[in-house]
Amino acid sequence: MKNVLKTFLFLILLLGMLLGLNSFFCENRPHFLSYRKLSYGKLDVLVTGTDHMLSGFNTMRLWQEYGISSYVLANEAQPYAAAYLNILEALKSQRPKVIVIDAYSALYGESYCGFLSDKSLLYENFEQVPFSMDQVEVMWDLLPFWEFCEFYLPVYRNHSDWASLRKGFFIPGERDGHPFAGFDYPKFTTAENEIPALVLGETPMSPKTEASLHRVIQLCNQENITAIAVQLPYAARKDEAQDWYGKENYLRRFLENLGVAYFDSNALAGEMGFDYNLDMIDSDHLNFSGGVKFIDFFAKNLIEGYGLKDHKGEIGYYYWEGLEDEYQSYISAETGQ
Amino acid sequence: MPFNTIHFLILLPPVAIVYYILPHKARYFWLFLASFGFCALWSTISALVLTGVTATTFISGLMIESSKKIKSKKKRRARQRAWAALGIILAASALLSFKYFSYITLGVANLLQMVGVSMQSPQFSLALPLGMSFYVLRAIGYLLDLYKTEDAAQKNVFKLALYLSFFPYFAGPIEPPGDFFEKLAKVKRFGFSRLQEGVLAIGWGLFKKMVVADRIAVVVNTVFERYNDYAGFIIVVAAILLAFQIYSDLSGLLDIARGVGEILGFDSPVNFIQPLFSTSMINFWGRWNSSLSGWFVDHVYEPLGGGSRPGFFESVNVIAMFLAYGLWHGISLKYALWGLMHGIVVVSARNSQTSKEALTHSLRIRTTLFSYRLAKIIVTFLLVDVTWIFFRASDIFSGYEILQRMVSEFNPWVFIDGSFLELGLGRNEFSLMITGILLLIVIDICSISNDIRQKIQEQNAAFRWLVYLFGIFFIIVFGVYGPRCNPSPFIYLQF
Repeated sequence: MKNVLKTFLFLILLLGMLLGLNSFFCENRPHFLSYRKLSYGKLDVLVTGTDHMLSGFNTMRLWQEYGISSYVLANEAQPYAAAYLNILEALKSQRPKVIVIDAYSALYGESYCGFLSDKSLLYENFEQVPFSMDQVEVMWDLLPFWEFCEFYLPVYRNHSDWASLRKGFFIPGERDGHPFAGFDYPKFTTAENEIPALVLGETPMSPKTEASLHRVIQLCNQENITAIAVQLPYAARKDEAQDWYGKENYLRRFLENLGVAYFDSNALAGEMGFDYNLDMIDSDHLNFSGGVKFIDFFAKNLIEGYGLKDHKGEIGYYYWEGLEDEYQSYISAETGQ
Repeated sequence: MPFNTIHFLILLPPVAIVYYILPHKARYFWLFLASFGFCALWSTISALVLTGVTATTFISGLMIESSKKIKSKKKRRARQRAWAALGIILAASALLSFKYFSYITLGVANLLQMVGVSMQSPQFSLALPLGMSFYVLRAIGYLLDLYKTEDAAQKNVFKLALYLSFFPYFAGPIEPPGDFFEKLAKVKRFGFSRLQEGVLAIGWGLFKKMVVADRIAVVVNTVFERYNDYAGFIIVVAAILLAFQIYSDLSGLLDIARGVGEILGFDSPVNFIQPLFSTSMINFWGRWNSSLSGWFVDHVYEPLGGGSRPGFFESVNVIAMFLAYGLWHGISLKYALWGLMHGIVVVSARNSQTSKEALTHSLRIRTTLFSYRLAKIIVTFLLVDVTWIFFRASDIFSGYEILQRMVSEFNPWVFIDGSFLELGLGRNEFSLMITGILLLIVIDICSISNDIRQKIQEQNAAFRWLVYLFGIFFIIVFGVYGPRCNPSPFIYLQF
């Protein structure tokens, strides 16, 4: 009996050590540290999505010009399954009036959105959400068994990082490069883009993408929060145009059936005064001027269509007010104005 | 399913738990199922070949025993010899077919070409079934023992199958069948001390393989696969590291095997007794993989006549045994040369014993001193290492070129100009590798006069737990495994 108890105690210690190592070697920390600084009830727009949102959804422009508070919980190649988990976590401390869903995620081809061959993106997207039973459920559904086990064993994946250990490497902190309520430092370069002709016809989304998107919309409905699908401007590559535009057509009908508004910036590019050669840094991401044009157009939609108000000067919006100076300094330094 | 995978570590506890829950009479069958399953998980061919070899060995064994009824001794022995030979030929043929398939087909194609018939060799090779080289040796040993000793054959085919393919021992050690069946028959009770000792052995084996051997493999592979890019001390150091790689890889494998066996109540003798500190080639072979070399002594050297005719014939028998040992690894000139080199050095050492004693006496060399022993250790290490170079090289010509390149340049500056950090391991990894090797040496030295496991077991629980946790921590953090690492398979798995 004594030996059994000793063994049990040893196993507890071992488990503790393994959990500690697991946590230590988890290189993608949950990115809600800044988010949790927001005062309760002061978030108007929660934005989920891919790196398009990180570079294109200018939260500071939306705040400075329109007094609408927003936060971007996006990541490169974020699939809707990760967006779902981000929203669940976000709703624990906020009640936004609008949730923006990135329509670009619908275009990914693989069963869970394009990074089947790039596991680092998989881990990055899902490890940024704190552990929860919802996360376990989503990952169990998404991944084969051994990959599921691998996901929950960051020590197994990352232990070789001991060789590059440095001070602060594994310390949880702010998400680098997304300092403005989740919005990245805007870029000022441009690129030449050719816009392929639109196509008719539909190409279905991948089944898991569709199921995940449906789940996100259902969650918004359950929480009585308005969901808007937003497609930021992008220039499809010629060989992908048929597939991507076909999926957009499918998505448009899908959203219509569910009663979700679809803000298609590509279709509205003319009205926005958007120039694909001056307002983008490459074929996928908006530069500063592109972000400004998009926000100016989208903000009108938010105000007129969803009744969002100007909160500048009101108490409780310290977070956004606190970022204004830094943002302005950055823009001035970049533009020389 | 190699030992150094998470799958094995996850599956081992339930196998052991069920084993101890089952009544004694059913345990062997459970182990047979586990062993067979282990083999089948490797590949279906492995399971099928194992079944075939088991069946032929079992039937041959029964026929050898049934031949005892023949009254005439001459006829009885002839019949027994025939059945033993048949079983051995069938088992050996299966091994030869898989191991030497490509060589055989190439040979056949060349022969046919000589008589004007063109034949294209198949563009594939047969992957060797798991542990085949070892269980065929066990099968051959079993039949030879039956023939020599006229012991009773194993009547239970599952017990025989278990002997041949016992999953902890699929790559050694090779036990005499009588010893194994005796252990199988003993009732085993679960014991915490045995569990602790087994876990310690497994942990030490994993450390040697995952922290030391796989790290050394990066450097050795870089140098040996592109030896034309290197010269002088870089190749010398790589060759020295090769010896440590082979030692830590093979002894690590057998430590894990021993540990798993101990957890299941099967004690096995230590196969490696600090071979790095051997003082002669003869001493080396008494310390290196003793069960495998013991098999060749019992079933190659002794049947050839052994030491019954000292002098020339005994020397021939020794060289033949080592040649067979070399060729068991593969039908290649480099393995044959490896075996021959060992055979020749052992024979020379034996035959020059008297001359050496006379020489040391005349030179007034005090042979009891540490310095003399150290010199012998170093010389033996270097001799063994030279043979390992040929063993590792792609062929004997490459081996020779590697030796040439060792002395082609005198470049001591490579020790301080960072050249060793360009061989695949960064500074931290290289330092860890050296630390691992030093720890290996220290533990080996301590093991000369102490049973380290016993010493740890005798300590208080807090210290013991610290050792266990630190060991597990070390393996988890510093082991070469996982998606970003490129672990090497156990070297002896390829045989």
